[in-house]
Amino acid sequence: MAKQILSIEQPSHALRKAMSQRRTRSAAFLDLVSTTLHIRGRSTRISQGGTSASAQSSSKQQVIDANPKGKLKQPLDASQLAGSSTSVTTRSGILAVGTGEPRSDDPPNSNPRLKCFRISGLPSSWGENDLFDALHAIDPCLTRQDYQPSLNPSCYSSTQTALLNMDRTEHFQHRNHVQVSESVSRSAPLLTIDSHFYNLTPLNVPEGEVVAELVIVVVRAPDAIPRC
Amino acid sequence: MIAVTGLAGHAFGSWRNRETHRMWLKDFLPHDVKNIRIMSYGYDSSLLGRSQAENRLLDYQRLFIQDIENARSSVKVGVLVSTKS
Repeated sequence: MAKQILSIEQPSHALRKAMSQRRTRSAAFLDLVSTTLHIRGRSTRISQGGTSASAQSSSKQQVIDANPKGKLKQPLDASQLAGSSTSVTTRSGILAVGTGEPRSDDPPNSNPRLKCFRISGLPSSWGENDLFDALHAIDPCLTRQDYQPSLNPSCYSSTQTALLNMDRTEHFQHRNHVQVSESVSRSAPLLTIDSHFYNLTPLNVPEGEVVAELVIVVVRAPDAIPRC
Repeated sequence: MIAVTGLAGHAFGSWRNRETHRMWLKDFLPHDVKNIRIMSYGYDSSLLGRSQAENRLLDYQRLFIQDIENARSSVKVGVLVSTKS
């Protein structure tokens, strides 16, 4: 049960102090979001298995450092998340996420040109093969090797949203909408393709009953924001 | 769970490793935490260039809240706030 997995704790003193002293635009944004949801000043930590902060501190932790040059730091990679008790914590101890098992299918060094596209509006009955047929009609050179999508239920409707890493971008990056022909699918759905990922994007297929919805607001580029 | 990157970030790319192309929220978190729906939220907040965003923070807040209301089910909603300071 997710209730047992996620524990909610009060924000650290450091966070309260930082937000009161530095009235940056980002802090104001966080306030706005929190106030509107009437849950201002609540939880700042996710920990796995209901472990306490002290228990977490004894495990191996990855600290996300503020980059003094204002450059966005790389997201965590597989090696950083590998291990039985790895967690992720900000400098002020705000966000900690549970263990990451080593993945045997991690690519050692994939194609740097890979770009991820979001394809929305897939009928719920579609599988990976149906999507491949639709995309193959757009780019006849697309092969199964280029094609490893993940299909997730849409956030807004009964359709599906696919995420697809491709290095063959020329046929897709300037297309916003693709009308699938009836020869490919009888329903001839209108697919939306983008790579900007605006609004909500589903990233997984929930297993079992969803018992809680949480919002994580992560400000990752404070130096990109002019300080007041 | 909705992951929101900071201003001028990317809703997918900011969470992805440039070499392995693994995305933390998509490739790792679902294996470790079950019974949650994981989403990312993206918004146009380009600071430079032709596509420079003109929204104010209040606009971002309204759009974000509206999107949550459009997508949420009847389960509890909480807020986890993380800053990098």
